[in-house]
Amino acid sequence: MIDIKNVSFSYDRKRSILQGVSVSFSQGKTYSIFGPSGSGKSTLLALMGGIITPDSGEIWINDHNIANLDGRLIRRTMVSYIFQDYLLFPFLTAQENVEIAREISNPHENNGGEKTRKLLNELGINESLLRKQVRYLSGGEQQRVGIARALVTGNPVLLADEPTGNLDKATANDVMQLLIKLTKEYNKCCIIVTHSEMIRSQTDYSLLLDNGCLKQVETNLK
Amino acid sequence: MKQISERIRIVFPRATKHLLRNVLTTMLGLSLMFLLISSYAIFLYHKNVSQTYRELIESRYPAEVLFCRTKEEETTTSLSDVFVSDVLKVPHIQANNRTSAFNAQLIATGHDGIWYEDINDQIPIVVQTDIYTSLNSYFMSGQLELVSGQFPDDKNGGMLVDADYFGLTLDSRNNVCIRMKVLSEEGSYFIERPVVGTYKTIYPIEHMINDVPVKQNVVFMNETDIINISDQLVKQDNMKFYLDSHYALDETMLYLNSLKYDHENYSFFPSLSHDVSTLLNSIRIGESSQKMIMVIYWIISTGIVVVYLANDYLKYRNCMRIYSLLGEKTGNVVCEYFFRILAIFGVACVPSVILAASSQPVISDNLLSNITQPLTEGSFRTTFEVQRNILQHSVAFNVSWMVILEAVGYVLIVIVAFLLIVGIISNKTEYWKNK
Repeated sequence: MIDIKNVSFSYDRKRSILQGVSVSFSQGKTYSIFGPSGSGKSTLLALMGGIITPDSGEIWINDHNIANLDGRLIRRTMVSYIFQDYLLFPFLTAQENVEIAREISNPHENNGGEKTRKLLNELGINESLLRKQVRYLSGGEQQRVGIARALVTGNPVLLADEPTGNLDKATANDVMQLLIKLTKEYNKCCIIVTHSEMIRSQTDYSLLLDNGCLKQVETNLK
Repeated sequence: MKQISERIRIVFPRATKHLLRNVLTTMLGLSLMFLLISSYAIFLYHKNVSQTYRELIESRYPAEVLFCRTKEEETTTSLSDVFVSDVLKVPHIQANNRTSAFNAQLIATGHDGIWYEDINDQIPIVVQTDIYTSLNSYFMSGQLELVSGQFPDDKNGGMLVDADYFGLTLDSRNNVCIRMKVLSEEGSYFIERPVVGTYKTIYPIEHMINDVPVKQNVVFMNETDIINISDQLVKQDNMKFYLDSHYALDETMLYLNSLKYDHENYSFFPSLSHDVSTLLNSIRIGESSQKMIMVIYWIISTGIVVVYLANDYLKYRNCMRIYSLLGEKTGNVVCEYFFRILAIFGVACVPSVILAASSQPVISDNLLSNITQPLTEGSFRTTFEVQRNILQHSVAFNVSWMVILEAVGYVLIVIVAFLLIVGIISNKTEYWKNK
């Protein structure tokens, strides 16, 4: 699914963020990446989404070396992001936010509206919330909309950067359970950057990133 | 083409949603643009009125300096080529034209009816305030008949003389003919008036002034002046020097006064009366003030629009970032942003254009009074009233469309300039653009 081969990256060519990271991610599995601040977790997600390009090494997604692809094309067809601060269009409704992502990824898809509504309902966004501008929704509801937006695209990879960082513990737990459940249901590869022990315990694999190096891989699979 | 239509299909509903949902920002933009276009149009309207009126006055009363030398002094030195050459070197003097005219003296002014003057058997000249009334009452009733030429009117600014007495007498003695000019002295200024026609008396006009029957030697003019041309008319050799600016007349006169030439043989006069000079100066001061206000207005209004656009851009940049992270094509994102701005601008144009189109292209009395304040009670009132219609028609077109087009163009230029600058800057700095 995703093969990261000996990837190194530095922002200013002086301070190295990632040093020779190699790791593989598989479809239908959930991964958490943890480690201290500045260890390169978010950078790794940005590299996988084509937002930044590695100094050396290769990243392959579905047998495509993403170095040869446009970053926007990667995000349109291969990876979807879920953010800590949601990054939704505040003046649009929940449904419109999800619709825009679906239209960008699948502009000619039929019955897209129905699919969106169904997905939002699955995530606990009922009919009345669907038509509300997202700025009037709670943090948990906004993050559910964010997850729906990532799932609706049909992209095989979900990259979540601290998705529950702004949520209280109970809500965070609910949101994470939904995310993991739907990841499995939709057969996605979900990679979550987190500091949360709770998330680490819920994902299939946990990767420790420290000082730009991948130090440890643990599994919760029995 | 297909790509463009596809882009419009994607971008149009999104941009519309953003505009409609973000009501406050949209309304603020609409109001700002509308105010900007409308206020700029109002400025231009006033500017055009003032400019048109000034041009009318300037074309009617050209800026000239007149040099006169009497015919009796023909044997003395003439306006020499050297002198003409010297005068032509004076700043603002552009060209010259040599003419002949008769000297006349203004002796009275009046408003109603035919005025009369007959002093020591000199030739009387009578001037009509209301030329049309007098034409109706005398010419239409058949008492007087046009012999040659045409009736005086505001355009030719000339006079009609009695062919039997005045015209023929002058003809025989002084070789007066139609198109010959009479130089009338009005205060300290001289105005040339052409003889545009002659008439003869069919039935004598019974006219009494102070119980004394008067002669029928009347001259019809379209002014409120009475001119007495001396029986001993003296033909003069005149030379006009045209100025490039009406406002340089005083300065030029001072300069000419400082030139050393034979003052006893020559005299020179500015062509503009005090009233006209005052009017033109008044308009010029008004135009200067308008220019100053316009510059301040440009700075402030441009600043307001730029601040609004910058604020809107900063807000929208977050949307651009989201689009980028969702993988939207750069072209669609930029297109949506442009569409939003142009939609606000376009919608704001509609009420502005409706306002301009629906407004009556009539110059208000207040505005006219302000412009012509020095003259409303002066001797140019008649001229002013006649020119008013011309002014109305001249400005009408400007008010409705040209002004609004210019105002719209100005705002559009500000927007396009802003977009270009933002485009250049963001192309270099914004990560969402390239990634």
